[in-house]
Amino acid sequence: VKRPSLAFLAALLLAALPVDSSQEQRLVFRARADLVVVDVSVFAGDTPVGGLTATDFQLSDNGVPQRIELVSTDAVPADVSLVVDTSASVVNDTRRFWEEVRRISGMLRPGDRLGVTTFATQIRQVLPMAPVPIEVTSGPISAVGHSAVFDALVQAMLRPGVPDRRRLIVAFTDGLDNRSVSDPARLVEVAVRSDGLLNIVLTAGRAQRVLSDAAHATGGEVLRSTGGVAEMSQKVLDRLQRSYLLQYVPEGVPRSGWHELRVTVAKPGTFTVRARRGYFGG
Amino acid sequence: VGNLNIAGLLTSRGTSLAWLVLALLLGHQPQANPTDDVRELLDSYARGNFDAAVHAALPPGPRRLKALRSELEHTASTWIRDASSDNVHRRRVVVAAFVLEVAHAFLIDGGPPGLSRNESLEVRRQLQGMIEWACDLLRREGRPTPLERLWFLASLEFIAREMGDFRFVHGGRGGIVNDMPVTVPGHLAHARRRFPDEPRFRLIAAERSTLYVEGRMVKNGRTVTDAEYADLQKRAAAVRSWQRLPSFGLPTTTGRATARPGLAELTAANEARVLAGLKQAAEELRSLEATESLREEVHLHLGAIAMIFSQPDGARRYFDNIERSTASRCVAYLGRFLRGRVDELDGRLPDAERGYRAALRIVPRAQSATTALAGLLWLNDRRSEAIALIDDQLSEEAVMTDPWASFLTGGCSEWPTFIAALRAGLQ
Repeated sequence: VKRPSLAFLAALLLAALPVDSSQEQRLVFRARADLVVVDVSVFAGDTPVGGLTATDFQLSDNGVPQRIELVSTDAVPADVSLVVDTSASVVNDTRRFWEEVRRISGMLRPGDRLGVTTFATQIRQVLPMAPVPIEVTSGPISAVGHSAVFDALVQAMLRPGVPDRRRLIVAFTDGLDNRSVSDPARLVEVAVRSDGLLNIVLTAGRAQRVLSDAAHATGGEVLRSTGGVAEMSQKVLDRLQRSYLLQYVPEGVPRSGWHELRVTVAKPGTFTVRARRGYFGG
Repeated sequence: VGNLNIAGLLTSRGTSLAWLVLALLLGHQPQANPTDDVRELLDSYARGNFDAAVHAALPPGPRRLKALRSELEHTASTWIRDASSDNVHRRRVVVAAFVLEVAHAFLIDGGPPGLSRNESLEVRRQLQGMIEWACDLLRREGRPTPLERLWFLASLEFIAREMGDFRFVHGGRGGIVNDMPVTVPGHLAHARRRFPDEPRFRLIAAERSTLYVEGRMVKNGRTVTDAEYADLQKRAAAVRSWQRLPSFGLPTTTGRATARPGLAELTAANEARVLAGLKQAAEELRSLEATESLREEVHLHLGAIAMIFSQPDGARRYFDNIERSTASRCVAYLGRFLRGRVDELDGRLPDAERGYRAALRIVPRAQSATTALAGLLWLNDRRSEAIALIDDQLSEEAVMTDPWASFLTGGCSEWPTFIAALRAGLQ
């Protein structure tokens, strides 16, 4: 079976964001076929932990400790995919929706790209991935129909990352799926192997286990909505501003097959560390 | 708006401007007489100008829909009364068909884009009221006629298969009005009272038990073996025994016999009920296999039910029957798509791929087969093929409704067939 190239994994990077002072000593991202880049968020309770250095992290690849470097997120442009459920109460005003998209475009940096997909019964790419600032023309956003949440997330996560760019998926949904052909197991399976970092903004209802499993498998999380699409997108970007990019060249492990990753913080205290669970080596 | 001097405008040279402002404020376009307009539209429809009359009647937005309904109900009664006695029945059917087509055109063929959720619900409520009014108009007649049968067939395809309005089809609680629960009379019951022997109405009745259940279980890959089914029935019987106790609904005492079943037992009891409904539906569906016009649709359901009850070989046989013979694109697609699904669940991945690809040859870019196939390929390290499929799907608007959506709401719509037959009957 042909394995995907490790170059794919070099695509999971962030950056639509200014760099905080604690990250200034970080190394510049260097794209290499054998390089693995891992997006890591660290929390103490619900509070993101900043100011960590490379020596504060321990990373093992299939149980083998690796020598890691901290990469400056500033060096890595972002591809941001908005995936918006229009069957729920997320969007009930078409004009306002496009205004929110314009605001999100304004939050991103030159060099970043933005794409928008909506879904109810049908998944529609209303804005193909394009460099910001984007020329958004208004278009109809239907708010009727069933809801293909899992299919929309699967389709978003199947898309490959572009080498040297971080791929971020921000999904807005109430999580109620009644239309998909993808089952919960498929959603998580795809999430585990996806190049994208999935963050889900839950607009209503309770967080289903499968949604948090999928988001966590990519290193992302589920947030409860407290505002509009643009406001919550800003919140996701703010949280990611305090995340870390670790890179390493795998040593002591065969290149091909599934690589299970384990990332911990080697500092006193209780931390929650979010990072992808692994990758397939090529 | 409050600062506009409408009276001043009316008494000045700006009279026509004032009327325009008033009309805009009221959400109406200036028109001579709504009643005359409706009569003209009904006359035009009766003369066979079906599309033109329907499109001329389409209200520009949800607010005007309510007004149109009111105008129709007011004018149509007079229009029918004005007919000669041998033409009254035809005029009733004309009115009912016109209402049905306007509702269909408004909801399915377009309607105003960008409706909010509340507006969508209000539109559905208005359309439901219009169709029920038309239904009542026909039911008032003495003996059912072939034209009325076609109207009921078309209306049920629309409501059940295209609107997916389960409550409107089968009846049930329709919310609370003035603190009292409202029960919606099922449209299917009206049809079956008038045409008790119509096989298609029996099919739609059987779909009450398969609706959503088949789709959900097929999607989730939930299958049940005979042993699991027997165990679920046993647990359901235990829950029923508890519900029959005199203390049911009262605070529990210390006795073991009145201990409340846990959530797991209640869930099992519910699943047992749903599965028993599927078994019962399968019996009814098998009795319809002999009806030629329904056979493929019946096989879709029976195949899905066989898949759920862990009989993949039986499911494949049903789906393969469909592959050989059907004329409906929607049914043909679903036969191949579900064949792919049963093969995937059964671990026969090359066969599953063949099934999904065959489905996509029938309805190119259909979202369901595209997503299923892309996921399958991607997880088997055929990423570029998977992504090409999704790119192709998103590159254009879907050419037709994804049949999987129809399957979730009952089955494939035969609206075009029945509305065409109804039109032909009115000519």
